[in-house]
Amino acid sequence: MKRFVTYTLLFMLLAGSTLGVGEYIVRNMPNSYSYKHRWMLDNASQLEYLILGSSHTYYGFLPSAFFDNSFNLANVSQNPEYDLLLLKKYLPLCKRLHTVVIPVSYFTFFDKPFEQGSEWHFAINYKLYMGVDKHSNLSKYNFEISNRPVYSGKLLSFLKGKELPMCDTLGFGVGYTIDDKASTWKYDAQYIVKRHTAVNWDEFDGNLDNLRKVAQFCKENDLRLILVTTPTAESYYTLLDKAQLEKTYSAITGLCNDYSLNYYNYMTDIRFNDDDFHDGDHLSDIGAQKFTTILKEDFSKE
Amino acid sequence: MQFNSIEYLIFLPTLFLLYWFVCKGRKAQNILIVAASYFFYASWNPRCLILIATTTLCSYISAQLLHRYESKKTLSRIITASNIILNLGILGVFKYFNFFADSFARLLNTFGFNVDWVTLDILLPVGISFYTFQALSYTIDVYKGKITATKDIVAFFAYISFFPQLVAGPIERATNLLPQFLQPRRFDYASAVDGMRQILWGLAKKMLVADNCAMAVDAIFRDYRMFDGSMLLFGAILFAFQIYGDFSGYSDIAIGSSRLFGINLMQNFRLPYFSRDIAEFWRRWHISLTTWFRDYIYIPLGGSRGTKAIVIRNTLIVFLVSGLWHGANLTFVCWGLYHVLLFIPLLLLNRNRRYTNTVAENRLLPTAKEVLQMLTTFLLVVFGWIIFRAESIGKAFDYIGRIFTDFHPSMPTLGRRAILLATLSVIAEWLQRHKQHPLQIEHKGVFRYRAVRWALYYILFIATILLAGSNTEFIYFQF
Repeated sequence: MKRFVTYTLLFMLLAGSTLGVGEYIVRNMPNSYSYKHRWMLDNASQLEYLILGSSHTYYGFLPSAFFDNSFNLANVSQNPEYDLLLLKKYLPLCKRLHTVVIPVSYFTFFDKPFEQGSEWHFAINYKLYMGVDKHSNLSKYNFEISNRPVYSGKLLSFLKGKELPMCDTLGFGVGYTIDDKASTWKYDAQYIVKRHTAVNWDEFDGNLDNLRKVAQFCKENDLRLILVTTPTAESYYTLLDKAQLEKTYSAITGLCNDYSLNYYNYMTDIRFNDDDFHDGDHLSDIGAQKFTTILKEDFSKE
Repeated sequence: MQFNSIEYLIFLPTLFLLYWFVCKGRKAQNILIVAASYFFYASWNPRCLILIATTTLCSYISAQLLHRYESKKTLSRIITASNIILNLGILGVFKYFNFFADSFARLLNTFGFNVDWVTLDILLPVGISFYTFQALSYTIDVYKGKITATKDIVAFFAYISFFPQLVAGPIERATNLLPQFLQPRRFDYASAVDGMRQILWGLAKKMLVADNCAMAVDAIFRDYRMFDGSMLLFGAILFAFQIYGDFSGYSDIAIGSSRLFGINLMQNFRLPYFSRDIAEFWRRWHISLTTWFRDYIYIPLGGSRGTKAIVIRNTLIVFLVSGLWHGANLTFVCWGLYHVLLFIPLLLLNRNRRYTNTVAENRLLPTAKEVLQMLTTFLLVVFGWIIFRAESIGKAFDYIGRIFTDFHPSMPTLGRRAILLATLSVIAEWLQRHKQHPLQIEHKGVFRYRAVRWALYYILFIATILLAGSNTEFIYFQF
């Protein structure tokens, strides 16, 4: 018995050490979350425009084409709950911040918190690389290895000498170029719509409440909150569920009235053509440049 | 709590230490096993504990009554029938009510009666088919006098709820498992070490083969209209490896975990994809279920005695019930029918028991004929899996139709890693086909040296972690 326990422990120790070394390596690989965290610590005092939100702004909002002192703090699948957590975390560092931009998309009010779905592992990035203390240190969100496919993918990238996908110096998500675009992107839009269309509206109240909290927080801290719906392709917006869309617009109208917010809606803007899109609901780098320029002009008209 | 989760990694060693170091004696160990098994089961849904406790208690009481009224045949029959009806009733309500209510309403609608049948929003308890069948076999065996009713209620609860096989089998018989809970157990080093190796092999099959296949299979089956016939065939082959890796991997982990506690479970798979005909396949696939159906349905119906027509009827019933056992869905029923169509010709030609030995016995490689037989059987099974995996019968036939009408041989664009890993596992299983699992290598060549064996275990473990696919639930949990 003792021999069995000893050998098993020895083996587990050996294997565990290897995986522990892997965890150390993965955690120390530069990634967009750790970059953004570092940037905020070093430069937040100069920041005036902060862009939050999901992949729609991460890949769609180019700070270098906007006003000076803008930074894109959006991340893939980032929802209003995490927008608020980040805002609360970094605001004490932001001495000159006056404007916060948040996207409101077709799915914003209907998505489950990502911890409840297949994208739960995004929470690891906030915990490990941005120091967001939503989950305890003993939870799975505090270990890269708890999401094995991503852990091993990162480790294999390290072994091959590859870098992880990064943002540009102002937090914009690079990589959505024309070369990287699927030939079936228009056809695929139907699947994206299907994924974005809610089976039920159980999450609506919670998500609306989170966005209200963001608006309230901005109000209390004298920050101007701007809501934006980014452009989408015709193959995407023509398939959207009317009821879900109307519910979204009515929620936005309510928010704007209650908190005196400005809302810019470019969802069906005809100035955007096929080259401006990477897929049905994401802008390409060309589209991001165009969108940010248009948004800047519209802001300036105010 | 899945076998491939961090929770199980903590649960299993903790239980092992308590079992051997704290709980001295059979009774204490059995109490611990029951408590741990109920904790394990509650990790899915604590409310379902009441179902398994009810099933266990009713079967225990039935057996006690059968023992008491042993000499009264009619009363014994009534007790056994009541227990069967009760157990199947619970299973029926929780697993099949909506299916039959919906099918009945559709049938009436076909004949012009507009019926809006009530369907219930019932949660399917994990593993209900497995433990119900285990409880049924006990009552029937007591009734038939194959086993004596045990008075030890704790041992009986341990038999029904034993955590390694509780949610996805193997479906054990009381004649094999119950006596083990009634005997004192001694720790056996060689058996425990082999159990650990079997767990490792099971994990590798689940996480490396099944989970990697699952990613490609899900993509192909979800949008099958986007792919040509060769990709669809490839997707179906990957699903064959996925379901095998998933289910046999689960069984390996279950058997291996049991051995750590001095309990031996029956073998559930014996290299089914190396079968030379469908009959052999069914002797090697999900053995605990097929033998259950043989012993409790096929043989009581008359088995292979009687006219050909009766034998065919019996076989048909067994395959239909087998399909339905997998779930309340027409796809499973059709899958059962498909297999019976493949099986009956062998039955009519008296060729259903041609292959009872291991293929290429005493040879490294199979003959060309054996290869052809195995490939043909495998492909037939693969087409059956399409019916099994599809969301509906219509989609299954559409899928199969597209394989034949839009076939352009090409290199697969998805699932290359999955097929590579599946191939490696097939090679390992082929080379070790006379063993219970491929990691039984201690007497083979350089593997006689512990350092070499450890190196292999280490590489396999690390590879399993690093190359695992997306974590998916074990397929057979839903049954």
